[in-house]
Amino acid sequence: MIKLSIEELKEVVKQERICQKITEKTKEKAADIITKSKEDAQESLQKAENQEYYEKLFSKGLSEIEEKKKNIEKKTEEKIKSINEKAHASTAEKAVSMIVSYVLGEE
Amino acid sequence: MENIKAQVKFMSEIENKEIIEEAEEQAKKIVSNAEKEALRIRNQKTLEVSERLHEKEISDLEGALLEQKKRISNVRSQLLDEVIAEATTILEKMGHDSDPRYRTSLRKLIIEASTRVQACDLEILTNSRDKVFVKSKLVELTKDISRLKGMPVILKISKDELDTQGGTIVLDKNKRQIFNNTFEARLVEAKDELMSQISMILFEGLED
Repeated sequence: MIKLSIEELKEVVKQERICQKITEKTKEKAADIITKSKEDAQESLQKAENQEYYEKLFSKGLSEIEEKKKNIEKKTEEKIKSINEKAHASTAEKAVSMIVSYVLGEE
Repeated sequence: MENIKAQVKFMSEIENKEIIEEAEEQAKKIVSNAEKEALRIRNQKTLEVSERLHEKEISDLEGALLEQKKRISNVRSQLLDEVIAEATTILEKMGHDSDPRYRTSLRKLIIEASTRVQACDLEILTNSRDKVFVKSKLVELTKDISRLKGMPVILKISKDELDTQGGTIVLDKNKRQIFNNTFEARLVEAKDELMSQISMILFEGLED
């Protein structure tokens, strides 16, 4: 068994108090770490829930659909142009002549 | 004595280290769980957006394609109408000018109509303009039709007149059998018979 003098015992007790204070501070620090992690977690969840982000995503998709619709319209115009060009060339004359011959009983 | 103090300090340091490690471990778990949940939410919400967009795309593009088909079909139909209108104008002009091509055609139309009516006593109807021409060709027509039918026929020109641009209607004595070979009737027939051929001529090689 170790025998200590009163003075020495006081020193040890003093040291223990210092250590307790440090432990208290450490516990506070640990609590801060957990609080900070909870805040980070909350932020992460809020980001995931952010409606604005999904609205932007939807809006971007809508723009792409509009673009596709415009392409269809453009193609329609091109097709109509091409139909008109072909029909107004000699092919229309041929078609008219075919009908006339049919009505006259020539075919 | 110094040894005891150092031991107290050492024990305390170990305890403090454990407290921090435990807190860090717990914090890591909290953040990791939240990140997993955030990822799940993000995936779900992104999927919802993408499903909404997909539905919208299908409905909008189907509408646009339908509109495209409608417009192209209208253009085609308009062009076919124009072709028919042009043919009608030519035929009207031919009739008015008593074009030799028309005269030949009228003979053919009368012969065709007469052979289709299963009778020997026939009546021919035309417009007032063509009546004179038919009268002048009646003997010749009677001969040709009799030959084609293989029996003698009696051909008469009706007192009535047709309101037609050209062609004829032939009927039997009792007016039970009628064969309409007027331009108007033949134009209707031409639309039915030739529409696919005309469409081929006009629109061949063009995509739908």
